[in-house]
Amino acid sequence: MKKEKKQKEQKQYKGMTAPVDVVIDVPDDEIWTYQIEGLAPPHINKPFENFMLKKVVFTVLILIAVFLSMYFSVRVVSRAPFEFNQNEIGYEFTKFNNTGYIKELKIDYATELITNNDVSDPEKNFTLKKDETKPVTSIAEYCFNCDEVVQTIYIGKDVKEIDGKAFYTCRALRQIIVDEENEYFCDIEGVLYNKDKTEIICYPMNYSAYLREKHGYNDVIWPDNDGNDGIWPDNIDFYTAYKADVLTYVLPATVEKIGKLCFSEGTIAALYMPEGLKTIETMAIFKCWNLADIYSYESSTAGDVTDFTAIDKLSGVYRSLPDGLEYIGSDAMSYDRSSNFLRIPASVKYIGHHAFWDTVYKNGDHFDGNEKIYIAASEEEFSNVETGDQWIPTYDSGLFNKKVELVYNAEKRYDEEFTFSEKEDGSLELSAYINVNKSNELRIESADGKAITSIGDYPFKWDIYTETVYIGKDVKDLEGKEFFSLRALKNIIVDEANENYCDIDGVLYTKDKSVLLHYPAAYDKGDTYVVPSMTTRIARSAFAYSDIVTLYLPEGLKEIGDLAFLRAFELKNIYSYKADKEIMTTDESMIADLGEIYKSLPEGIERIGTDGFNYASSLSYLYIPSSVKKLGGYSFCYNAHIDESGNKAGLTQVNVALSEADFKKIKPGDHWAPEFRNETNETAVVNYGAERE
Amino acid sequence: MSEEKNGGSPGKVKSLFTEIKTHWNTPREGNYVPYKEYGSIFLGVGSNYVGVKILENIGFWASCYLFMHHYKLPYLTFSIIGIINMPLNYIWTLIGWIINDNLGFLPKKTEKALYTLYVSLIGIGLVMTFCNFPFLSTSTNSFIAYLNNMESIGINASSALKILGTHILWNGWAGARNIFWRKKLIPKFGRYKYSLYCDTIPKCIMVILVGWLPLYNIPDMVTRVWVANLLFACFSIFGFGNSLETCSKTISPDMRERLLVRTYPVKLSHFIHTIISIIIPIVVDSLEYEWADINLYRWVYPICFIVPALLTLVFAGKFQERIPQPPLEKKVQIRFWDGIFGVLRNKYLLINTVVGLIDALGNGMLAITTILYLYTFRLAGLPYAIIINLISFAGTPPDLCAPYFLKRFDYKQIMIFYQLTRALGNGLIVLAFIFCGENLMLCGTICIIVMFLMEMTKTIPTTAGHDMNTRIGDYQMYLSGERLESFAGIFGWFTGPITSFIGLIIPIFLLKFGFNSNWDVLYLDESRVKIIAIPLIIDIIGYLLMTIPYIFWDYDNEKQSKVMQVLQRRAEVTEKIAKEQGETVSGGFVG
Repeated sequence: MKKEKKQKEQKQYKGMTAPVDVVIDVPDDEIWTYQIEGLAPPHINKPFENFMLKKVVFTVLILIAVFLSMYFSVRVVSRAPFEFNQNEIGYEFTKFNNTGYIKELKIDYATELITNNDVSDPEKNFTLKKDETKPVTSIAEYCFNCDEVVQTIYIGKDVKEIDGKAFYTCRALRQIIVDEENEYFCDIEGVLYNKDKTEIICYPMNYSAYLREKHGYNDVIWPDNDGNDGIWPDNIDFYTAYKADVLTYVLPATVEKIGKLCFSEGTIAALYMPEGLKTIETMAIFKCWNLADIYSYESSTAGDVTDFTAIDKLSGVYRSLPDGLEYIGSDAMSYDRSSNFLRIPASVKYIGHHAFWDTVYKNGDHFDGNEKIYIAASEEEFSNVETGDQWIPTYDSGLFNKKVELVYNAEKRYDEEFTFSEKEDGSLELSAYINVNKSNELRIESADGKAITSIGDYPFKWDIYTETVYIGKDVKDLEGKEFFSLRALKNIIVDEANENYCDIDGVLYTKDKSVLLHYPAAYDKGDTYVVPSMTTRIARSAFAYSDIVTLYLPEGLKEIGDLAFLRAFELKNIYSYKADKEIMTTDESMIADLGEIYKSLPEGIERIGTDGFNYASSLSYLYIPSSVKKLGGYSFCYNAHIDESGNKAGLTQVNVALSEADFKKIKPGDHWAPEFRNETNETAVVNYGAERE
Repeated sequence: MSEEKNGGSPGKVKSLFTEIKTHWNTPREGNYVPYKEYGSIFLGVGSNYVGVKILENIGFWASCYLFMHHYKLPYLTFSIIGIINMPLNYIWTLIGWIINDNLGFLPKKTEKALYTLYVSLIGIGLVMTFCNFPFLSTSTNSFIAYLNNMESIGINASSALKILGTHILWNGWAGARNIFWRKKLIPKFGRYKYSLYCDTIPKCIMVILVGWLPLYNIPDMVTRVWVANLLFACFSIFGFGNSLETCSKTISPDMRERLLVRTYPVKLSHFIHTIISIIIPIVVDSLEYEWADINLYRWVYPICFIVPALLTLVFAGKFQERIPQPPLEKKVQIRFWDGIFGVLRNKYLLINTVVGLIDALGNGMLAITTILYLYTFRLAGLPYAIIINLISFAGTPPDLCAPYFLKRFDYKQIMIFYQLTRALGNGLIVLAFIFCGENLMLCGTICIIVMFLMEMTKTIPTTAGHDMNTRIGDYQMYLSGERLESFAGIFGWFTGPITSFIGLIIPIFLLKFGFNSNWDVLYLDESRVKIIAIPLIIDIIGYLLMTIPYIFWDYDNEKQSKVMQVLQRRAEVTEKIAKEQGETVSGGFVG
């Protein structure tokens, strides 16, 4: 019965595992030689025919194969540095493969790299040979794709076509400079435009490095491990200044189009767009992680000025994409996670897929970014707009994501001069102030009949107009750091009726003068300052960015706050004094009465905060007394450097009163000592057990 | 009439239960595997598979997140290191083949010579890796200058020497271990499982070290590169392959039983990995920097690896390979040329080589699924995990029916069908991208459906392929007295130049369309379409061409049955003779 079934199966199926009922008889002496019908015979422990010939043929073939394999593998990684194609209008620059050392490149003629092996330094052992019979007329897409070295590109006069994607992910690129004779393109300070400036083509990915250099931040900010601009979390005060100088860009009023990938992965934090803008192309402002402020303006007299100084020349500035905008390409602004207010004007006709994708995200227990999208049109009008898939950002909501809310009929927002929040007791907190009227005076007293009693953490935008601040009688809870971004501030005047604070010659103190809260950045009553004898603490960022040159500190001072003298570039001398009487006058006329003066931080000081004196680069002598119990990280880190002649400069030595063993016990913060940032990562010499002068 | 006689479901369940109970410890007559082993295979293979899959995320390659986000090495660095190591690699590979295909049992003189060689390599490697040669940084020799010119990608002449030293050190160390452990462990644990016993524990330690050693903080990239290379050389010296699944393929000399084991306990064991692969993205989603978070390598991967790795060790001993073979003491000695000419005589390996060669047309192509999930649909977290697993699950139901299909169709039919479905499916994806590329949802949905269907039609040919590879090993054993799995690598040497050449073509296309180390170009519609469509079209041509070699495939069931009978006879006779001569033997299996 079973046999029948098997036979039936054999008939029915002929597959891989169909039953087979074949038995073969293999004699004991044939186990190594028995040949199965239809298969090759076994060949075990037997000599091969034509063995030598086979070996030779095999060896030759395998050597050829191995050689070719290696050749092709090498070919994969080795490419000519410059690749050009001839086309109808001249030569197209199709691919640039950096040797790793070409930081500047001029695209004018077909170029060849000549290596000089007699020079061992790879940065200097090559020259670029130009063939002037072959003018470059176009630059192909992805020509510089993923280059991480080239910093400046010069575009020659003959270039007629540039694909906007040519410089995609060119991470080190700081500037694209166009020959003035070029009829098709131009640049505004290293940003690429078409000739009539109606289209911005490329904002170099590392443009911020150029601006850092320009505005003196060269050694202040460096790219973090992800290649983004690194901002120390503690330096939020400093960020305000940095944002204005380096991370703000104003598009000229002529611009009608932002090209593909133009700002892609750029570092901008604030972008001002003109009302004439019609098109924001695909991925134009993609992954601009820092971009928090999107402004539009009605008109401008700034001309070709594109940095923050142009903002003063703009009128009708409001928060929104510009009225008149018609086209928003796919992924145009996706992953702009810092964006917190987005309004789409009524003129928009097309929004591409994922245009605002991932601009809202979960941050701990709350959401950051665009929690709502504001739309100028009504719901009915907006239904006529052509939209791509998933153009509305979504946020994490349990298992699956939810779309953000769309708010229709939304008005554009103008910056208000004062923003207050009402407190439980009915008084007000000044949470934001924008000097829209360019006033040189700010009064923090009352509004709408209500007293202003406090100021928010960082209420002021970068401000170069305010010279005097009046603090009313009801204000309390000040820390001093609030005034950091008032760059033109000369005077702080406190109402005498204020029970909490006072001013001495325009410098802000607590009423009992035990804490010096803020020394104005543009203080104009001399460059020498004597801190009163009853002061025991200098507040966070109190002297940061100031022009103070000589400072006298009382022996009773216990604490210098975090960032207190950050970037006080002119600070040369720090003295401490031990007066027999109360010292209240703060100008240099008082010096004769100061009693014993030491070239030292005051004996008795216990804490120097993080970044306390960082970047006070004119300081050349320092004595840390034995009373110090806490020394913050980076407190003097960037106070030494190698000068242009290659010599060590700045704080080359630090004198410490404590012995080395005792000093270690106070566990000074990381990188507290001055560093030269040279190849060997040297730090300043520390003289332990030093006597004070 | 009882339900059993009627063949009703309860009756079938009852008889199945009785069958399992009866043959729990001893196999049914004519079979080789008791049901108890099925359970061990399920847990052992499942754990082993999870461990292997986790290790796919840890390695010295550009796409490893550890390198992408922490070590931050240019992708070209990995290619250059490959080239530095390439020439010597050919030599080590040749020596390795002799050791592997003799299962570590070499003539005394050869063994001594190899040990001497390997110890010398260790010494030379140590000197090259850990000593400095300052003249290399100042020499104006053109080759040294050329190497020093590569500093921007993390390599200079000094570090190149260290990298080469690491390679030599690695090969000395690995070679000596290979002989030592094979000889020691294969008689006891068989040819496939032995490495688990000497490698698993050190591998677990290395997995921990890789995440916790903060070598990615080394500021100098040149130092970071050679130190990372050294770390990962140490990491990779201890293997953790899919040994138990390989072993399960030879669980029985009976072809149907082999397939049954592969279809049920082995296939079902992969569900363990499915569960893990759902959990990991969810856990990762909760990390601060998601896939870029170092805790992924400090906690998530080590835990996900160590637990299954230890379970693998527990269950590895509970089942065994059953290849009819003479005792190790009586096995055929494979000399170098026996091995080389032995595999060249295997017609089916030649056909597979031709197929592989044509298949190389798709080399260098990006994973279309990754592009769809991440760049078209922008999936993350749970939805990502669900879609991924839904598609990979598509192949499971047909796979469970593999015994039926494999009984019904022969290998040639299955493989030709497979190539044609690939060509058709990829053709549909290309059309979807070309004609509905702008409508993301529609295009993506079509692609997902096609991929689902392609996955469904993939698993049976895959199973057939696995089964056929085992049979080719049996056939090789019939031809040469050993399976010569290592010597079969010689085909790769011949096809290497062609595959490398073909492998150049697609990356050049991708580069032209903007694909480089930054994948964000895939967000750009026009580039995404080109990056997907053009390589796929080349791949379709490959699939159509691949049907041709299979027309010549004639290794059928009957031939396999006869081969197995010959192997069994060899095992029987050699063991009998050994016993007659009073010799102690080990490692043989008659079947």
